[in-house]
Amino acid sequence: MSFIERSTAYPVAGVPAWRPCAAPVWRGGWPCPVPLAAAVWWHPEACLSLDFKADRFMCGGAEVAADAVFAVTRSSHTRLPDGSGALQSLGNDALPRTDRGVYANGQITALNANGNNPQSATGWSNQGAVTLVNGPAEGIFSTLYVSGSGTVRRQTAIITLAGAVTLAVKVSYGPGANPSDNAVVVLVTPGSNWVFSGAPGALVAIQTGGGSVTIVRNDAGEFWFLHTTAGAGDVRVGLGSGDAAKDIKLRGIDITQTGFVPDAWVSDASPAPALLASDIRAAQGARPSNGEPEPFPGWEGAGLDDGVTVLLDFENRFRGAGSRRLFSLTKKNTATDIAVDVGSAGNTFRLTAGGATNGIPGGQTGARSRVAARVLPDGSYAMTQKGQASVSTGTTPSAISLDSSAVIGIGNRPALDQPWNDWVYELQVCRPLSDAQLLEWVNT
Amino acid sequence: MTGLNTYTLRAESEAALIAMLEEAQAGKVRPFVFDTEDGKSVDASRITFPKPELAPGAAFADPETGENIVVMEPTGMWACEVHLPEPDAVLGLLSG
Repeated sequence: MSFIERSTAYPVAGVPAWRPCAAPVWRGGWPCPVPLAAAVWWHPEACLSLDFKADRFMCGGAEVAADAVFAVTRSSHTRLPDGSGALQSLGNDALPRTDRGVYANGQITALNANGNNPQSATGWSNQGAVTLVNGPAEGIFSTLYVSGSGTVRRQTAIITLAGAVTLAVKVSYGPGANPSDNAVVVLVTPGSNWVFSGAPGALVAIQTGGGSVTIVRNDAGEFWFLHTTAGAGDVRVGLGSGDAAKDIKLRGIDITQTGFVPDAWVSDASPAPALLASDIRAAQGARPSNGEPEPFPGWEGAGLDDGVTVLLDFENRFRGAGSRRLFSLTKKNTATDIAVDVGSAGNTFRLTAGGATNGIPGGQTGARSRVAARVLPDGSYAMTQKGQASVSTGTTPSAISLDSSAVIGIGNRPALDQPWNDWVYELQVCRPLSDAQLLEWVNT
Repeated sequence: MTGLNTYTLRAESEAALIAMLEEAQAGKVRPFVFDTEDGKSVDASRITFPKPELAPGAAFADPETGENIVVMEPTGMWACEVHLPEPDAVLGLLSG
């Protein structure tokens, strides 16, 4: 029997009494004071981990407070539902987060377009004059008014459209109304006739000829619908001819919104009824080598200039929206190093790196998904998403100079013109992971 | 938008509004206007998108309800609002 086999430093259970990397006690080492591998909630290779749902954040291997890892700009309040559906009020520059996750919203203007009472839901009427203000891109004015109609039973709101626009309307039922009735009818001329229904809280999407509609119920009796028109015409909102009389209130109309109609609600605080975009960035650090900004403290020190992996867990309810950016890594001059977004074609998530864009295999889910992407400075990349059994790899036409990366944008890009407009649950920035590790993470 | 300084800028066109914002952003850490592949865009986290200015038009009676209706009508000008936590002297002059 050898000396080692008889040493009391190796108990029968087999656990050594000192760290394997340290000298044993009889050679002057100290007993290991902590477990050899403490359990952590972030990926072992993560240098930045943002768990928005659980409100826990890590940078450089240590948990930190939210205000230490984010730089948020938004000169307006917002209201977001939490997991129970209750609206939480969030002030200027506050991280737009509840226990559902973080909601990366774009700007919404003219939400409350009722000229009679633009500041509050109180006093909204379906019988007053309402003027719609469209966004700068379309340059169109439309007028909404209320009248009778042979098709619908009571007053109908008619929105006259002068051309192809994306239109979002928020509708609420009057007191006592049953939101589960098939009561709200939207007529688009020329074109289709839609009847909306669904349990409170449900997400309902209807595809019809001539356009698509997505409905989100934020709470009982209130929901948005979204419609992209094919051309000039009228949109009429009213009651079905066979339904009992009840009030329908148009609470917000926004034809500037080109993406998903958000869960974010505009503040009713006076004076402005606008919800401004949330600019959510990781708080920058300074590169030890030259003092220039780095995407977050410790980026350069962790060796991420030599390659990086991005892990994303998010919601994607509005399939095919186009021009929605989930993640961006850019330089000081906003030039893109890496981006994960939804292309204008709307069929896939995409990874942009080295000046080239490639579809992430698996298409869009129209629901919660996970995406993992690895990028190296030589332009080689690997990417996959939830549900995939393999990793797609390739090489971009040009190298990627991660050593000048400066800004991480979450749910948008620095120009704030591609809002994600949906929930983001988790973001982790890691050292380069293997293909097997990418697959393991997305399918966990 | 509690506790913010709000400046309303008016101009004859969207491009003119953008030019005013570019003039006002000189020397500031965070710009008011971003360059994108599709042209210039305002900082959507602090500035409402430029849009045609509206004002109440002539009142008329609703033909079915008889209710007096006032429809907002375009004035021909464009406007946007800048919301900042700190006062800005240049914007104060431009919005005056």
